[in-house]
Amino acid sequence: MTEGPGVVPGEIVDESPLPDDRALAHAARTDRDAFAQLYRRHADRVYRYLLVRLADQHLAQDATAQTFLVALERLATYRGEGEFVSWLLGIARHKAADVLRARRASLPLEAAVAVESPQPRPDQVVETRLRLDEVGRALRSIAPERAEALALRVIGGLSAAEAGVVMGKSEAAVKMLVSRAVRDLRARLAVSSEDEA
Amino acid sequence: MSQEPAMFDQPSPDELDTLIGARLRGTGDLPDAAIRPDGALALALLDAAEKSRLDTAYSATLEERLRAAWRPQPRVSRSILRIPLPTWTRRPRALAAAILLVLALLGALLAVPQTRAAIAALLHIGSVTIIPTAPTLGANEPTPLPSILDLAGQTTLADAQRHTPFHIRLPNYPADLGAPQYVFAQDMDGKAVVLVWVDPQHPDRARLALNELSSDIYVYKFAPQVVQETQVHGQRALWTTGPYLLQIGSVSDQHNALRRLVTASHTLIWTEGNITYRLESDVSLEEAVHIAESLH
Repeated sequence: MTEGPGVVPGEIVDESPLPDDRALAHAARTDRDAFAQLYRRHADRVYRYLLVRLADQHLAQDATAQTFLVALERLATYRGEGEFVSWLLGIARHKAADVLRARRASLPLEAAVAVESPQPRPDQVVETRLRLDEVGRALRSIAPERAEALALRVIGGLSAAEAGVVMGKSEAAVKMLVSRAVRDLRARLAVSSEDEA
Repeated sequence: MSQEPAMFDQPSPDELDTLIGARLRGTGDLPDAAIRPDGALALALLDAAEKSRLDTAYSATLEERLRAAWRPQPRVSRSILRIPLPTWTRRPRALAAAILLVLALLGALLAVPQTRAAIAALLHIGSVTIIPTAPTLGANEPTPLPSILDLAGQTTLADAQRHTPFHIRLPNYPADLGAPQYVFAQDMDGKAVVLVWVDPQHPDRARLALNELSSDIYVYKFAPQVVQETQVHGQRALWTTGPYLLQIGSVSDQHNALRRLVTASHTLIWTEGNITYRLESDVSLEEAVHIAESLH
């Protein structure tokens, strides 16, 4: 089952029972409001995933829009066999891949070198909160599968099993990839306890 | 004996996953893994994720855009292999018998060298091979829209173009045609595109359906009633009349073929470069050629 992010402190929680995603997705085929509700429910999660994958707010916004437009057009192909948000993040994953492919093709070498070298100083990392675009830049320097697993599991909030379905991996493989991604990222961001000390 | 976790021992993949799950669910107490460096970083990432939100104004604009783009959805089958066929094809025995009959007739025809040569000479154009066997099907009538729309891979024209290695061409005749209402990028190596224009007088029917197929796609048409040679831009083209059984597949993936009964009155088939075009419609041959020659 998908593990959504916890409630933000201070946020008003509507305790009335909400239709689940599957019911909304089914209704959204004939009900515009149902799709809008799905959008509001998942827009932030899709955006976060795309922000950490693309490391650019504007690219992430565009890709979020494209993801939902494609979801809207392909809604009838979602048959409720998995979590709706997994299906949505599957679309987002393809959008991110398109953007990254295009960026690789168009970036001059010097720009590529520049984006591959984020490495904030350890003291900067400690003193400031992590930002997803920073994390995304750091993720570019680790193995793509590890970065993807971390983005889907930690940032996208899918369970390891759901992320496995999106990636075509087992649940155990996703856990391993996430574990290694965090380790790699920690080295990359230089936030080890040794550094803090 | 309980033991305090060592500060620099890293959580196992399972422990880290449990920690992430606990944090995502918002459960109170976090496992010991939270105080180890990898666990702490995972929590910092979750915290950063939670604080990252789509800009409010952008989000509102996007919602408006989505609302404007929303249309009632046709039912689309999960797989191109599950495209609904007429009732007789849904009965396994009847379908098997029909396919065996078609293959037997085809085999018999191809066993005769002259026939084989004639078929090869006459009934092959681009990716399309027309096989003159004759399943018994219903009366001629325009292709009902669901049979065309019940395809996998529905997308936008722009998205289809991004995933298609050739330029998707659109007719600019008739002048009122505009952009297709439905676009399918078929998942047969991503090299087949189906564009559908709805008949404004009969929203349940297709006015035109244009297939654009790369050379990696093969098409077999079983037993169209009429095959007539014609020309598009002075090049050989074929004009067929339904009903017939259509099979489309990828040369590299013979097992995942699409089979569909086409009851369209007419189909014009021609090639330009490495692309094969199929135009399904109920317009006259002259009109179809005019449309074909208007592709840009």
